[in-house]
Amino acid sequence: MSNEFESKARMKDIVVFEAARILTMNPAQPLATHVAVAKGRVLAVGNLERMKAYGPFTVDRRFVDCVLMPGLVEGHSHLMAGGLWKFPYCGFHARNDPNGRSWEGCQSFDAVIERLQEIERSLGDDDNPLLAWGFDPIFFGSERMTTLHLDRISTSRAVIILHASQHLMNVNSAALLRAGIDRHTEVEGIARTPEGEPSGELQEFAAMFPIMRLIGNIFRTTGSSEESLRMFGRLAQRAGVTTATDLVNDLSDENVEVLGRVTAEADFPVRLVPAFLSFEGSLDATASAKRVRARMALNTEKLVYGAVKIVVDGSIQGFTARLRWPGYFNGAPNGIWIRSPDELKAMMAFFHAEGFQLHIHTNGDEAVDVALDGIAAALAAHPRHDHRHTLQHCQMADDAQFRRMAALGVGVNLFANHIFYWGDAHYEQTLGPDRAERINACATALRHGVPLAIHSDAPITPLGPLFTAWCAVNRMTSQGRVLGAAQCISVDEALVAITLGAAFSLGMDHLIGSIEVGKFADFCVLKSDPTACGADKLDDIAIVATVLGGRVMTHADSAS
Amino acid sequence: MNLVRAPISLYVVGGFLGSGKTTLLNRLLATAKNARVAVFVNDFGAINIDAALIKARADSVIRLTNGCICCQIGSDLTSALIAIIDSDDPPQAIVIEASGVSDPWRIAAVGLADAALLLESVIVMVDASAILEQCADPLLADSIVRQLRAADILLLNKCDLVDRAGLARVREEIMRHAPSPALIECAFAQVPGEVIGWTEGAALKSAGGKAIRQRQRLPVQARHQASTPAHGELFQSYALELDEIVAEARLREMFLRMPEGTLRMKGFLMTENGLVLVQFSGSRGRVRRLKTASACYPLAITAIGLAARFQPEALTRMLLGTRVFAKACHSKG
Repeated sequence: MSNEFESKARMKDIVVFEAARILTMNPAQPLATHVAVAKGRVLAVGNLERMKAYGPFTVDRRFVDCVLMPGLVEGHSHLMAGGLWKFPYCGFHARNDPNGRSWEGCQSFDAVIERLQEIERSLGDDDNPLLAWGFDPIFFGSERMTTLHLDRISTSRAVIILHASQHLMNVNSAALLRAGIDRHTEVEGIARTPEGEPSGELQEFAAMFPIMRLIGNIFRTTGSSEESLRMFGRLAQRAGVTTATDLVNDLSDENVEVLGRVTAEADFPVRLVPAFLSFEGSLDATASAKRVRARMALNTEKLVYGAVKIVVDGSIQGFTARLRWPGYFNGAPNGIWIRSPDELKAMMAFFHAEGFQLHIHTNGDEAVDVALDGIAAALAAHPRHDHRHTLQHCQMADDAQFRRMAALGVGVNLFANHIFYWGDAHYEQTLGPDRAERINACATALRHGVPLAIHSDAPITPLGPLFTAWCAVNRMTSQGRVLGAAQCISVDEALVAITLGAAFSLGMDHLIGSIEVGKFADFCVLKSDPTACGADKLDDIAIVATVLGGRVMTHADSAS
Repeated sequence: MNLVRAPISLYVVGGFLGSGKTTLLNRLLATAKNARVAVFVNDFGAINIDAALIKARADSVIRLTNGCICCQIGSDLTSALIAIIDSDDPPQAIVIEASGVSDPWRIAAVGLADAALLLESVIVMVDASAILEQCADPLLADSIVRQLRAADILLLNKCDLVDRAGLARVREEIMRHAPSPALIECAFAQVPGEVIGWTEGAALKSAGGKAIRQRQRLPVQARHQASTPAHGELFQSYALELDEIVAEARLREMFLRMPEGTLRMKGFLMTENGLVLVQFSGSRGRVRRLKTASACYPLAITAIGLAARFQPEALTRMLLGTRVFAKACHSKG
C-alpha cells in the first residue's frame, strides 16, 4: 500500500494533453483523446475519465483541434542534412530548410542560375566562392549543365554546385581556373565539351579534389559542427521527428563532445542515435568495439550509442551497387564492394559475437545475399535471439531474400523515397521494368513478417517521414508512374513503419514509437488525421508541433 | 604571393588483402633515405615500423627519424590529402595504400587532376598463390580484373610459393585480363625501386627541395647511356639527355609502339607547348604539361627495362625522332 501511495504522491506535476484524436500505434488501444504525462513519460492514455486515476493534473488544451501521433522516427538519416543548409539549395524538387522556409524546386537550368544570380548580388566584393547543393542532372534528360550556364552567375567568383549524389559537381570557369583545371588536365572524371574543353562537370573523388582543396573540403566537414547539429535538430522537428539517426559516425572525441553537449540542452528537439562506422577500416575491429562500448557508457535519454554500421556496396543510381544477374539494365558493369565479401562477413561475425546490433547498407541484391550469408554464418557460430540486425536500403531484395530475412530474424529499413525520386530512372536506365517494380518491396516484407521501417537517407532525399509514408503507400514516381502497385502498403501500415517500425529497427521500441504507458512522452502534433485524409494527401498534412519528453517544441522555439 | 612549389610525387599501391601491400610500404619507408615521404595507410595495425625509427606517435600520424611520416587515412582521404599538401612542410612523395577491393586508379587519378601532385605510378600487388582462386570467385573476379587493368606495374608477389608450371598458369591468367608487359615477379615484395619509379622520383627531388633547382646536364658526348646488365641482373637502366624541342603529338604516338622490354620511362622534355613530364609504364604513356619553371628539371629521359629484352638503341632512335628540329631540317633539305 505504501508503495502505491508514494507512487501517486510523486506524480504531482501531471500534465494531460487533450487532442481531437490520438493515434497511439499501440494495437491494444489504438485510439484516445487524452494522454497524461509525468516526468517526461506517458502516465496514462485514454479519455478524460481515465486521467483521474493518478490524482490532480493540469490539462493542456492547445492541441485540442489537432491529431497526436507518437513522435516520428527517422531510422536512416545523416547530420549533414542540417549543415548543408548553410548553402543555398538548388535541387529539382521543393524542400523546406531548418527555418521553415520552403525552397522552390529549380526545374530548369535557368531557375538554378536565377537563384544563384540573386544570391551573388547579395554578396560583398570579396572573392569567396559561392557554394550550392542539391542539383541532380538525372531530371534534365540528356541536357548537361556547363560553364556557359554558371558563368552567367559570375565570371570572377568561383561558383560550385554539389550534386544531390555528392559524387559529382558543376563549377564555373572561375572555379576551374583557380583549381588549375584546363583542357590539358587529363583525367577521366572531367567532362568535356565537343571542343575538348572542361565542361565544368567534375565526377568523383579525383576530378573533384582540386575544387575541394580550393574550398577546404567544406561540404564534407560541415556535418559535425555544433551549428550543423542545431540545424539538423530544427529540420527534424519541423518534420515531426522526435528520434533520428546519424547512420555514419566515427564517434571521434570531437564528434562525441559536440553531440553530448548539444543533445543535453533542454530545447534540443530530437533524440539522436549515431551508428558507428570505421571509415576505410581505420580502426581495427577490436578497437572499434572498444570505442563503441566506451561511448555507450555516455548514453542519455537523448543520445543513444551502440549501433554499428557496415557498408557492403554503393548506390543503384550511381551504378556502384552490386547486382545479381542480369546486372544493370543499361549494360553498365557491376558495382563495387566497399570491402571484399569475406572481410565484410568477418566484420559481421565479429560485431555480432560482441553483442552489437548491425545496420548493414545493401542496395543491390547481390549485396543482400552477402549480408544474409554473413548473418547466417554469424548466427551459426553465435546463436543469438532478437539481434535486430537490419538491412538498410535493401532496395532490390526479392521474395526469396525476404523469406530468408524472416528465417534469420533480420529486419529491413527500406528506402521508400527512392520510388519517387529515382523510380523513373530505375525503370528506364538502371534496373528495367521488372526489378524497378519490386524496388523497396514493403508489401513483401510485411507478407513475410519481416520487421519494416522506411526512411529518407537525408540529405540524399528530404527528411520527412510523412512523405516517406506517402511514397510507400502510393509508389508514385516524380513523372507520375505507379511503380509496382502490388508493393503498395496501407496508410496504417506505413504509419507504423515511421513510428514503431523504425523504433524497433533501433532497438528502442520499448521507449518510443507508440503512445503507451511508461514510454517517453514523444508526440508529433498534426493539423489533421492521416488515416482520414485519403492516401494521396498523406504528405500534405501540416506538422503543428512536436512534444519531446513532455516538453512542447514549436517551430518558433526551434527557429531560435 | 606563394612560390610555385614543385609537385609532390604520388604513388598508389593497390591489391587484394594478403597480396603484400604492407610489406611493400614498409620497404618504401625504409628505403626513402633522403627523401621525405608520407605514406597513407588504412590501418596502423598492419604497418610494422621499427621502434627505433619512430620519433613521435600520435593518433593518426607516426613521425619517423628519417623525416618520413605515416598517416592513417581516417574518415576522409580528401581531408587527409589537403592537410598534407597544404602543410608548411609538404613531403616530396606521397604513397597511398588503396583498400583491398577498391580500384586504385580512382585514387591515382588525383595525381593527374591536381597540379600539386604528380602521379608516378599505380602499383598493383598480386598474390601469385591466390590469384587463380580469386579470378574464379564469381563475387570477386570483376573487382580483381578491374585492379589488374588499373595497374602501371603489376607486382606478382609470393612467387616463391608457386612452382614453375603454376607460375605459367598465373601469368597466362593475368595476361588474359590485363595484357600489360610490366609484370614483375617477386617474393616478399622485393623489387628494385627503379622498377616502380621509386628512386628516380625521389632522386629527382632529393637535391632540389620544394622550389627551383638548377638544370643538370648530362655529359654531352653520351647521348644515351644504357648500363650493361651485370650477369644475372633482371633489369637494365637507361638515360638520355634531350634538350632540343620535341613535338608533343609525336611523343604520344611513340607510346603506341614502344620497344619491347621497356618497363618504365620518365623524364622532362621541352615541347612546342612548353615543359612536359613524360611518363610511360607498362603499356600506358602520359604527357603532362607543367606549370613549373623549366629550370627546375634536367631535360632528359630515364628508363628501365627487362635486361633480356630491352632495346636501348631502338628507344634512343624513337626519342630522337620526336624532335621538331629533326623534321624541320629534313623538310628544308
